[in-house]
Amino acid sequence: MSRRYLIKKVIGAFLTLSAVVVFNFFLFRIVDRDPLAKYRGRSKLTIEQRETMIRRMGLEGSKWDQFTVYIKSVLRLDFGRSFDSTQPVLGEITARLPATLFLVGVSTLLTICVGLYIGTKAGWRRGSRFDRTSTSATMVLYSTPEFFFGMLLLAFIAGRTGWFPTGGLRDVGADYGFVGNLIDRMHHLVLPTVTLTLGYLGSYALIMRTSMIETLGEDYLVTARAKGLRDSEVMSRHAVPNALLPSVSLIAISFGFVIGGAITTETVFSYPGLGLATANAISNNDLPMLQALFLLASAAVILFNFIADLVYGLLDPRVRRTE
Amino acid sequence: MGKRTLRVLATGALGFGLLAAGLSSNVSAKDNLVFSVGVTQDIDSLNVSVGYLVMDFEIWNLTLPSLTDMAAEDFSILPSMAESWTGSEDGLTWTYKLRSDMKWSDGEPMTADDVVYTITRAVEEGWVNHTATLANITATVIDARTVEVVSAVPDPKLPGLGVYILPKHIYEKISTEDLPNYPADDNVSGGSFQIVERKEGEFIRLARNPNWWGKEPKIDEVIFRLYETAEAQFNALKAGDLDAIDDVPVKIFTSVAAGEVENLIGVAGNQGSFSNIAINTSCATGIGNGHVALKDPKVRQAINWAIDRQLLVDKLLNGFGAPAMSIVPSANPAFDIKIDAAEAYSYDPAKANALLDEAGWKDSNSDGVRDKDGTELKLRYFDRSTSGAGDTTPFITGWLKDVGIATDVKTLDEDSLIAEQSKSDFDLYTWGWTPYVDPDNMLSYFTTSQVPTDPEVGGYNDGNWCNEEYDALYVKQNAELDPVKRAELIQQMHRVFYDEAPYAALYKYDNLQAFRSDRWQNFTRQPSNVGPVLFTNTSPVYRDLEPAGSGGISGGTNTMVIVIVALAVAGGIVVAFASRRKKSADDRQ
Amino acid sequence: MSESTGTTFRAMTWARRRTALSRVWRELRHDRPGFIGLLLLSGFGLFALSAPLIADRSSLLVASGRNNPDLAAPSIKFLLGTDEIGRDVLAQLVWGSRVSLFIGLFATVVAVVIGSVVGLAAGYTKGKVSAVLLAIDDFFLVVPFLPLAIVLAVVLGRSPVTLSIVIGVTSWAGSARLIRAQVLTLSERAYVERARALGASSWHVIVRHVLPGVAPLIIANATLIVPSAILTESTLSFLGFGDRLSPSWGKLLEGAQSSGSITLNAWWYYLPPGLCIIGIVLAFTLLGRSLERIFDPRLRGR
Repeated sequence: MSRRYLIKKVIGAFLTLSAVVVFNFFLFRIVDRDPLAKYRGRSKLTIEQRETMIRRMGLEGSKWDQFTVYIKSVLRLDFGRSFDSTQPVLGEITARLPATLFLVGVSTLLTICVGLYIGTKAGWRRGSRFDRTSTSATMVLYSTPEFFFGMLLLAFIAGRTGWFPTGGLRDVGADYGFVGNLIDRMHHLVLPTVTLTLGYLGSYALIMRTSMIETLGEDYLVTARAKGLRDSEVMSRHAVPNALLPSVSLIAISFGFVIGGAITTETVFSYPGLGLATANAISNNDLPMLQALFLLASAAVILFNFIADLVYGLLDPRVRRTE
Repeated sequence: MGKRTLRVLATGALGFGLLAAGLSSNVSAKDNLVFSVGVTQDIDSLNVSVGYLVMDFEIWNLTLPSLTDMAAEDFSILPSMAESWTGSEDGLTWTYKLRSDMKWSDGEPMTADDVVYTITRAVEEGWVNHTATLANITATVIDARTVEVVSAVPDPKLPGLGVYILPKHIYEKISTEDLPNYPADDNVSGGSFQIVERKEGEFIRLARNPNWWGKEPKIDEVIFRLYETAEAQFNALKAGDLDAIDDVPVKIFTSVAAGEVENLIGVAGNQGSFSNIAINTSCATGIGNGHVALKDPKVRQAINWAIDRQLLVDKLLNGFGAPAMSIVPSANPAFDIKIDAAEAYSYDPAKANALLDEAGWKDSNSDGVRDKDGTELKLRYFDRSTSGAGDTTPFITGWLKDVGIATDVKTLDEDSLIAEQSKSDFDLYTWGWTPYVDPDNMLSYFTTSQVPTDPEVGGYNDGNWCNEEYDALYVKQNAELDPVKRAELIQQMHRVFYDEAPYAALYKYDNLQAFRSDRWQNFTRQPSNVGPVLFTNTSPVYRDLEPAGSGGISGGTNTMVIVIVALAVAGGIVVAFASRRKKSADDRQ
Repeated sequence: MSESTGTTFRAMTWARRRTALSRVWRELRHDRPGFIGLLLLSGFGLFALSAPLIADRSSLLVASGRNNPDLAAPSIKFLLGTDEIGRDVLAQLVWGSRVSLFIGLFATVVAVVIGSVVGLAAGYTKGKVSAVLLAIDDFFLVVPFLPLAIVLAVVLGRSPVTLSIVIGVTSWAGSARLIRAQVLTLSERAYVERARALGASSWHVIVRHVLPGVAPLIIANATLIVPSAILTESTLSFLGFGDRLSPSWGKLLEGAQSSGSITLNAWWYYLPPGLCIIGIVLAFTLLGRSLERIFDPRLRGR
């Protein structure tokens, strides 16, 4: 990977992120929402109190003044106070971040592993019974809204059998020791993870299968196979790495969808992470919270894409050569 | 990966499972009595000066003391911080003698100072939950154990004084400026329980307050867990993760109440909660900016006649409620409006049409919407995005359309809705109330003084309705110490309210709650027989609850076993998968 | 150019298009997944068209369940039972198909129009304009889709039309990229270069030569945007941010969930909308992928 490629990608990611920051500012100024609604009619704020609050929210002066205040606060990671809880947004987000990182992390990992495995195998043996069954199955998975899975799992697995909790992050108030608590968390994570994984497994498998088939059509692989190289060797040495390449960036892009999936999955399972926070912030019109969550989600996808670009750059000889 | 490596891994997984099994056997050994409650509404604020949701009140009931308490059976006044009291001849001055053994949970003594500090500051700063009760009251410290309360007018509520008392040593450090944003996370309690842990959006955990001086609760901990959907919450109760839930979906509740679900009992409790549509009448003294048609009582009555309340009760509440004709001023049904069935609003579109015609609103341009002098009868309808009391909006907009009233529905969150109400810039809006025990508060909300005159300050009178007769009656009932005469005055107020129709009161609804009867007993209802168990006026249930029979409460162990089985199965699948893959690869060589 | 030659020219074009169309049809008929998708889709289309025959519009009104039992199991009178306020589930399902299809298709039109314009422009222009367009495209490609859609729905409102615009505005980036790539390859083809060398205007080149070249790809791509738009609509409705007054399938699922129908085993309430969403998404996806294969020889193998 050349330095130019790296610099180009860094600048690209940075520009996109800045665009999101700017976009964010204007988007949320359009919404007609009273920032002091929380206090109205409930406590008699003095005029000074109101002015202080408006100033602290960065809603004072011209749009340009507000913009500079906004940029400065974003750089300090200060997203103001939630309209709803009246507490600093940053604290609320950091408190909920681990839960979502855990959920999205584990299911992304699972989705990638299982999805790529199925896709590879299906593509490698195109037309086989495995290919036909798995492709039909992944197509159906791909077409199913993940919250529908969630609803069914919740009612039939958690509700009927009681094998798994119907929601939450942990057994509240219980202390099972370090390992026990870890298992408890995992126990609560099973159904949301299965939901999120099943929800996005389909697209990953389909991407990989297509990519695999395209790669197998390339001359050098046909030659390699014709020359009598062992199939397993052809697959692991040549076909899979080459097929992975185009998949990498597609998968990075679909990561944005996984974040969307976290919103519905966390809602179905009352899983108190950032997805649920997003859903709640929307129903409360909690703009500072939404603004920060939106920025964070975008930053996550941008980062993921950037990493994908780097992986691409490292793996693909063409990028190494030409850029 | 070699087969041997796989076997090692599988063994490792098994070992991990065994380790977990060992740990899980410790889990059930705990004998802390924990009562877990599922809720679908998060705390709005623990800060008494701003919070307003029933969930907030439940926590305050558990953690904040008051001068007097209320009986679970009938809301009669009971001693609490005050062990005794004496009143003057004219009923204006009351002297309370406090208990001597009281401490806050942090060990600080709880004295007359705390009481007077709270009352004085609440009046000065106009705290939302204190103002109506304390409107005419001043309090002074006589000595550490004696408080004197003087009311400017005779007050039928006294000597009952249930406002929450706060620890002075904590609140005196918080300035007027900072108070609205104060998260009240000091966890200093003066009630039977104290907050030990809170994760916003997840749960709040309370443990018994060791310094509590009242009736000792039998449970050690209360946990309120937040669920996003009522269905998930019910499933958690059924599976045994919870002991009690509020907000059971009505159809599910019907099957629980019928005894169709093992180990569960259902309680449909009423404490006067009702739903309504506020109609902006644009009182001249306020800033109300409602549709011109709504200034005419005939149009407002027409709206009331156009609504099929019984259908709403049948369909949305499955019968767990009753049509409402006026505000419900008290948790005590004795104060409800008394009106002949023949006179009461019922579903009568013909009558609604006739009233609208009479008021001069006719569909002159045949567009399906009535109009008058070039103004269309199209109303801005503000709807509440979150309401546990049923989605009435589609019904009502449909019925209004049937009588030629168009609506423009806008869905708002609660805070924004209150903000709009403070600006009084709406025509109709959905709201609901749960009244206090004494009707005074609820009745006061519709006096002229509560009409918003400044959007920054707002006011409770969401109909923007002013009526001199009602105001006069209000003052009279607030100073009437004879309960029978006072009840009569209140009926007269109802009558004015009913005729003037600044509200379309829709229905009284029950709180639908369900409990694990196999684990707990003594589900105290307030008031007895009709009231709910959770979210009552003074929350006596938490002090009365006890475990059912002698059987302890188990849990945890079963689920742990499942995890282990699941891990083992997962391990097995991995092994099987991997070895099969190896085999097939071999085959193809 | 005399009039007669103009007519023959047009006739020739039409004839060419007809052959192309019949080729597509032939290939589609032999592509099993695509054909299944097409059949499914026709089924849903018929279903949506037949709405007035199956149920009167008035049975969507909340008060229409007045005299019906609530959450009643399927019967002769109500083939798919009733919901928690006694309304006919089938009526909501069949009218809901119109809402879901409308939003899916209209959102796609919005996305394809934006995507094509940006894609064509980015592919055809050079230098700064192209770079800016690509940057915008990058932005929309990267911004997380659902949060953006939700936020826009909050800003713009929740009617079916605004929802479609919201979904369209958030899902054009992929197609713009695809179209640009195609334009770049096409521009190098001999006939386009020839046209340019003959002094044809950019507009002429785009409309006459480039657009017909990328049209098949746009169609295939559009077919794949529809299902994701339908999924997004159902997700928004399910989360409670959809239009509360039109009976889409997502709204139906939301009602099924909030009334506790799964716990109460009222399968006739929650299964049909779920299966319909899966079915229509599957149909569009199968057809779209198949069209992609037919139009883009590189993908023949898929």
